[in-house]
Formats: sequence, structure tokens, C-alpha cells
Amino acid sequence: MFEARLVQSAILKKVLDAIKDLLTEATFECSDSGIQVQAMDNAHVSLVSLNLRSDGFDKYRCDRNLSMGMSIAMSKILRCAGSEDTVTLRAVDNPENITFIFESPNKEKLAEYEMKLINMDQEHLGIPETSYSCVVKMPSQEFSRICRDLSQFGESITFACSKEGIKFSATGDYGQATVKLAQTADADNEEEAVVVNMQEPVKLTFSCRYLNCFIKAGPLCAQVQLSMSNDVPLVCEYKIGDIGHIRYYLAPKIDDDEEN
Amino acid sequence: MIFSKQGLEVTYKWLSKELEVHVNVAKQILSEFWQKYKEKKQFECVFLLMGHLHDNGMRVEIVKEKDLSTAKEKYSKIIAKHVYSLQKTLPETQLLGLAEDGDVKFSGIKCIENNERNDEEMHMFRWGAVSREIESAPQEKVQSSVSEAASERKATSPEEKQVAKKKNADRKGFDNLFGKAGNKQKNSSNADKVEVDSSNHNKKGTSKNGSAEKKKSTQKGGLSNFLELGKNQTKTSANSLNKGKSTNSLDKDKCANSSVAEKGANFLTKEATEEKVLKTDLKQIQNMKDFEEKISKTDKQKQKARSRKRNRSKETNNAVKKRKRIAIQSDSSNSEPSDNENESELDLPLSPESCPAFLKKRSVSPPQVKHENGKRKVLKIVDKTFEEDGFLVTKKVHVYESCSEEEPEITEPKNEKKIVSESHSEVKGKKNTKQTTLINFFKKS
Repeated sequence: MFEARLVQSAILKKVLDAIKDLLTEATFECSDSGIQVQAMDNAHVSLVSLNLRSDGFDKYRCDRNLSMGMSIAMSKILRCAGSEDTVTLRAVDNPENITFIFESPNKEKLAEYEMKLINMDQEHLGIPETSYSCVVKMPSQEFSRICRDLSQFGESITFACSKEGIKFSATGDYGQATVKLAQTADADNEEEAVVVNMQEPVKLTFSCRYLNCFIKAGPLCAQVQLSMSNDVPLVCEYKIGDIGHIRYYLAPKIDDDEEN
Repeated sequence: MIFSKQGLEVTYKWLSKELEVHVNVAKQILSEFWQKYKEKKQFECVFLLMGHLHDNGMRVEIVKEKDLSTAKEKYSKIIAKHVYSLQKTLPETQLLGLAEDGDVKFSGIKCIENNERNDEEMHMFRWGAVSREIESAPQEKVQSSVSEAASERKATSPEEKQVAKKKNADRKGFDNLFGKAGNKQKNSSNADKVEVDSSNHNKKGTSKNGSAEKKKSTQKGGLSNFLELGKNQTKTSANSLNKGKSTNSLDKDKCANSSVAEKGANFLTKEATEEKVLKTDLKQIQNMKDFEEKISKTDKQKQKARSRKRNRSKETNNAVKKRKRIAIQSDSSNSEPSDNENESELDLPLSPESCPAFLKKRSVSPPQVKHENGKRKVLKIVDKTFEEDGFLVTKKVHVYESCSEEEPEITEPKNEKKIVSESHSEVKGKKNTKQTTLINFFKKS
């Protein structure tokens, strides 16, 4: 028996919104400690790692570890939930279906949606613990804005991080766009702060397409954390309230010349 | 001595500039000095070697004295060897290149009368002594117009230093009369283009080595300027002359981007004395006059050309000057010569030539270019001075001029373009970056 209840369905909605553009289906690993999702997009360029801790749920019960392959069409189900609704996920031990139950705050409305699970090949990647050269924390809104703006100029955005701050730049046929963010001097307002934690400067180029998917997670958290090392995938992490986090890994673009 | 005073390196270029003598004389002076003092081992001597390599390549190189013998082994035939510079210490021969600006003025021809010599020298510089072999033919062609100059030139063998000096004085006089204004100002600008030119020429030089035929043909190309000169002696040829000259010296001072400013100071004091000496030297003046007479005899054509030149030289000189503005000029070197020029012009009757000097600082945007009969013509705003009712009226006139001297300028924009295109490709290269996949980084577990 697996049952997880969240008072705020909005969180789950946002999480699904944050992954639905990248993934078509994903395996939800449910264990006693929580729900974990790890899935790559079809091109194997980006990876979503979602972690929802059990203690973040209002009620969580997982008797056996479950691996449930779910179509991301579940976002359609979640769209049916009102923003104030309480959501409960429920599945039996050897499930073929998963049930979403939405309760209105006044308990007057109860909606149940059942979704078929799908069999999925396990494709779990071991992600090594890495200490990154640069860890930048910045307002997620700002990051979303930059990615959106710069993606108009080119297919990829170059992140250059130095002690002073982080520079985003894109070059395309129309011209070049550069956005520099300086490290915030006084970190009074944590949500608005830009914090650069740098061991050594990095410069990486990433595809806009994926970044624009990542920023869909913006509503989840006021701050985004970008972890970068040269020639290593970018980690773009959003906290999901107190429940957990969603991490996006994005493989950098490398010069073709080097490759050939 | 100069180097003992200042720890400078004394190159023949510098010397020729300082003493206002021809480069060949400067070389001569240097080598004599070297012969005299080399026992004392006070100075280090750097030679310039030019010759054919064993692999048919051609090479011009600057070697220290101690490396001379080994360097010589590289050559199957040495065309030219002369003292390049003397200095107290020289850690790196490349420093010589940085050390100074060559002075075009004394390296080549200023005016038509000199062109015989220039011709020869140009070839010397461009192709090395190989050209000597081929030279005779072209010479004959040119001789008709400049036979006198030629004979005079031949008379001056490098050993006869005195004569040469006198001759240089002569030349100097004529420089003042004709090209000096233009030339002097051109010097600096040309020097800036040196790198381009020299590289071109080097390439030419090396590529040419393989076939003598090729050499000949290109030589003819170079000569055509002079042939034209002989015939028309129009401003074009004057320009080409100038160009030839500049390339000559450019060839030599390979990377002469320099401390002209520094030198300017030295120059000031030195030149003052130098000037005095020169001026008081009656002989020289005499020579100058003799030379003038000779030239006036040579042919009417020349006179015509001169008069024509007088009319048009304003344009041409202007053109020259305009081009100049592109390059960085060092004020000291510039103002210095112009002083000179004025002085000398006071002495000499043909002062109108000084006019162009006042018209020079002008213009700016790159000239419009059109192609006509395969020749580049450049649209320029030129100050033309007309004589109207006894007044000199200066008007701005748009003129298309064909200038062989353009070449260096052409190369510059080309280079820029190259750079641009390179950067472009870089950008594109960035675009062509390959998206890696996470599989490259994370292993399946």
C-alpha cells in the first residue's frame, strides 16, 4: 500500500508542470523515505531528478518500495485539481493503476482519477557527487527572464562565472546579447540575492531549449541554484517548498572542433 | 660615439636618417667603422644576409657576428651581406626590429631624377642581387630617360664615400625640391604598413626563387612603373615611384614600428648640428646646382613633367598625405622633417612644393574606390590650387586617382576582413557546438 497526501495540490501541480515539457514518462520510485523521480529526456541531454521527501507530505505511507512508470499525462489529471484542493496519491502493492484523489478544502467535493501505469525500462543513472567550481544562487525569476530573453538571440547561452558575478551571453544572427549579474552586496533579502560561490571561473555553453524547460520550475521556488564546473553538466536546482527539490542536469555544449 | 653615449643600437637605417645620407652610404660607414674597431671587441655587429638557400629558397636574415659563419653555411649563394647594425649589446636580434623606424627618405628615390638608382635598389631589395643579373635589360630601357643619372650612379662606387656623400647631398637637394614633403610624411605611414608589405615581399621572394622566369616577369612588373615614368612621368608614376621606394625600405625594416618619438629628441639636437654642417658646405650646394643643371639638360620631357607635376603634385601629394593619415604618425619625426623642408625650401627656388605640406591633414573616411580599366581609382577630395588673376585659389575637388600606392591600403582592409571573417567563423563555430549527452557524464547504474 502506498499513500501520500499533500494538502497543497498546487505544489504537485507545479512539479508536474516543471517536468512535463522535458519528459513524456517517468518512473516514480516510492520508498519509505519519499518519492524520487529520475528521468532523462529522449535526447539524453538533460535529466530531471525529483525528490520529494516523505516527511514533507502531510501523510505518507509506503509499505513496499514501488516503481511506478507513469505517463506525464498525469499532469492532465492534476490540472483537474483545484488549487486549494488536497491531493492524495494511492496505489496498491503491485499496482497497475495509481489513483489521484482531490478533496476540496471544505470536504464537499471528492474527485478520484485513476491512471494506468506503464512498464518502463529502468534507466537509472548514477550521478556522482561532485563539488562544483561555481555555485550561483539567484532569483529564479531573474534566471527565467534571462533564459527567455537570450534564447531569442541564439540557440545556446554561455554561462561565464567569475568572482564578480555571472555573465550570460548568447550570440546569433541578429547580434549578441549579454546579461551580467553582479553578486549582491548585502544579502538582506535572500530571495532577491545573487550569490556566487566560486572556486574557479567557469565558462559553459548550454542549449536554450532545455534551459527554457527548466525555468518552468520557477514558480516552485524564489531562488534557483546553478552549479557548474567546466565540462560537466550544469545542475539547476529548485527547492520544492519543504518537501524536497527538483534538479535538472544539463549536458554542456562543446565545440565541435574539439570533438572532431 | 653614439652607442657609447646612449647604449643605442646603430643600424644603417638609423644612421642614414641621422646623417641624412643614403642607406648604402650608411652601410658603408658602418662597415668601415666596424672594420676599424672590431679588434677592440667593444661592439657587437649584426649582419644582414641575403641569398639563396640550398633548397632553392631565398632568405633574408639578420645574424649576429658570431653566428655569421654558421648562417652563411645555409646559403648556397649569398647575394648580399652588409652590416646591419652595431651596438654594445644585443640580447636578441629581434630587438633591432623594434628599435626604430627606417627612413624611407634616404633609402630610395625621391624624385624622378633619381629613379635609375631607385630602380636598381628596388630590385636589390626586392629580389636581392639576383636582380643584378637581370637588371641590365631593364636598365637600358630606363636609361633613355635617365642615362645621365645612371652614369653618375655607376660612377659612385660604394668605396668612394666622399663622392657618394656629395651625391647624397645632391639628392637631398632634390628631395627638398620635389618629393620631400610627401616623402617625409609618407615615411611614417609606410613604416606602419611595413609588416604587410614585407610579408608580401618575403612571400614573393621565396616563391619566386624556384623559377628565374617568374622573377623576371615580376621584375618587369616592377619596372613597368619606371618605364611608364620614362614615357609620361606623370603623377601616377611619381606615385608608383614613391611606392616602390617605400616598399624598398619597408622590405628592409621588417618590423619597424618604433620609437620614433624617442629618437625625435635625439634627432632634434643632432640634426641641428648636422644641418649646419651640411649647409655651410659650399661644395654640396655647388653639387646641388650642378645636378640641377644636368637634369634640366636631360630632357624637356622631364621639365614638362616637372611642371605638370607642379600643378598636380598638390593632388598627388595630397593623396599621399591622405593615405598617410590612416597610419599612426609620430609627431616628432613629422614635425622635424617639415622644419627641414621649409629651411631647405627657403634656400631653393622651387618653393611652391611646400604648399602640399599645408594641405595634408585632412580627410578621413576611407576613399571611395572605383575600378576603371582594371585600375583602382580612388575618389578623393583634393585641394587644388589654381592661379586665378594672380591669386592662388585653393578649391576642394573630387578627383579619381589611380594609385598604385594604394596596395598597402588594400591589404589592410583585407586583413580586417579576414579577421572579421575569422571571428565570424568563430561565432559560427560556437554555433556548431555539439550538444553532449548526459550519458557521457553519468554512468548507468
